[in-house]
Amino acid sequence: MKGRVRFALCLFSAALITLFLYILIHESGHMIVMLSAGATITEFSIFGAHVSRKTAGSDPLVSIWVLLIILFLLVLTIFLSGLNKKEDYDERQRLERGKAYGLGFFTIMGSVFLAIAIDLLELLPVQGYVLCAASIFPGLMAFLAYSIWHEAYFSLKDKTGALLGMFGIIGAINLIIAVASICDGSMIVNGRLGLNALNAACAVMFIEIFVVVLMKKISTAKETDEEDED
Amino acid sequence: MKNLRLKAARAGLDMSQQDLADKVGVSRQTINAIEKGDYNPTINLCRAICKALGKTLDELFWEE
Repeated sequence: MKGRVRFALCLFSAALITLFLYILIHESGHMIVMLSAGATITEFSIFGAHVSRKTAGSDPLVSIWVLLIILFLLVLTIFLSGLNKKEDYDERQRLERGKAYGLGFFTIMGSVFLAIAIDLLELLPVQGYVLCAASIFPGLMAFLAYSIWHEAYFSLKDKTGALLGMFGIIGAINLIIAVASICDGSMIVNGRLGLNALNAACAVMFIEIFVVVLMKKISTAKETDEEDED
Repeated sequence: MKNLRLKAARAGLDMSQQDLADKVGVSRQTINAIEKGDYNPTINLCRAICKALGKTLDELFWEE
C-alpha cells in the first residue's frame, strides 16, 4: 500500500513537472523569436500559457537569421551525439549518474514548486519567465555536484582540461554580462529582476563546477598519497 | 568490506590503481571504490580484473 501511494505521488508529481516544463519550453520558444525581432516582453505566464510583447520596430530579417542559427546548432548537436553511440562511462559511473539524475530531478521538483509559490504570492520582485528558468538551476547544480564528486560527470574519454577550459570561458562571459548589467542598471526591468539575472545564475553554476572539481582533485591527491604510503 | 586481496594482488604486480583501471577499461575511482568496499562490481568486471591480475575469482572476490 505504501509503495502504491508513493508511486502514485511520484507519477502525479512527474506529470505536473512535465506539464510545467513543456509549457515553459513552448512559451520560451515564442519569447526567443519575439526578442530576436526586437520586441519587449511584457508578460510571461506558465499556467496561463501565453507571452505578451510590446513591439518597438521589429526586424524580421534578424529573427530569420537567429532562427536559422538555432536550427543549425540543433541539427549539429543531434548529428554529433549520434556519432558517439558508445558508452564511455564504466558501470560504477553509470550507476552514480543514475543517482545524480534522481537527485537533480527531485531538486528541480522542489525548486519548481518554490518558484510557483514565489510567483503566485509575489514574494520577490522577479519577472515570471526569469523565475521559471531559474528554477531549473538548483537541479542542474545538484546533478553536477553529485556526479563530479563521484567522478561520474566526465566520461573515460573526455578531455577534462579542454572541457574545463570551455566551462571557464562560458562562466566568465556570463559573469561579465551579469556584472555589466548590474552596473548599467539593466538587471532590473520595470522594477523586477530581468533576463540578465539568468547570466548571474549561469555564472554561479559554472563557478560551482570549478569549486567541486578542485575539491575533488585535492581529495584524490590525498587518496593517492595514502595509497603510495601503503 | 575492504578488498585487501585485490589490493595485495595489484601491489604484487607493481601496478597502480590507474594502471589496473586502464587495463580493465574503467576509471581509477572505480578500482579505488572496489578496494575500499564501497562498490560491488558486476561479474563481468570481476572477471576482467582477475584476468588482468592473473588470479581466479575465488582468490580475489570470494568472502571467507
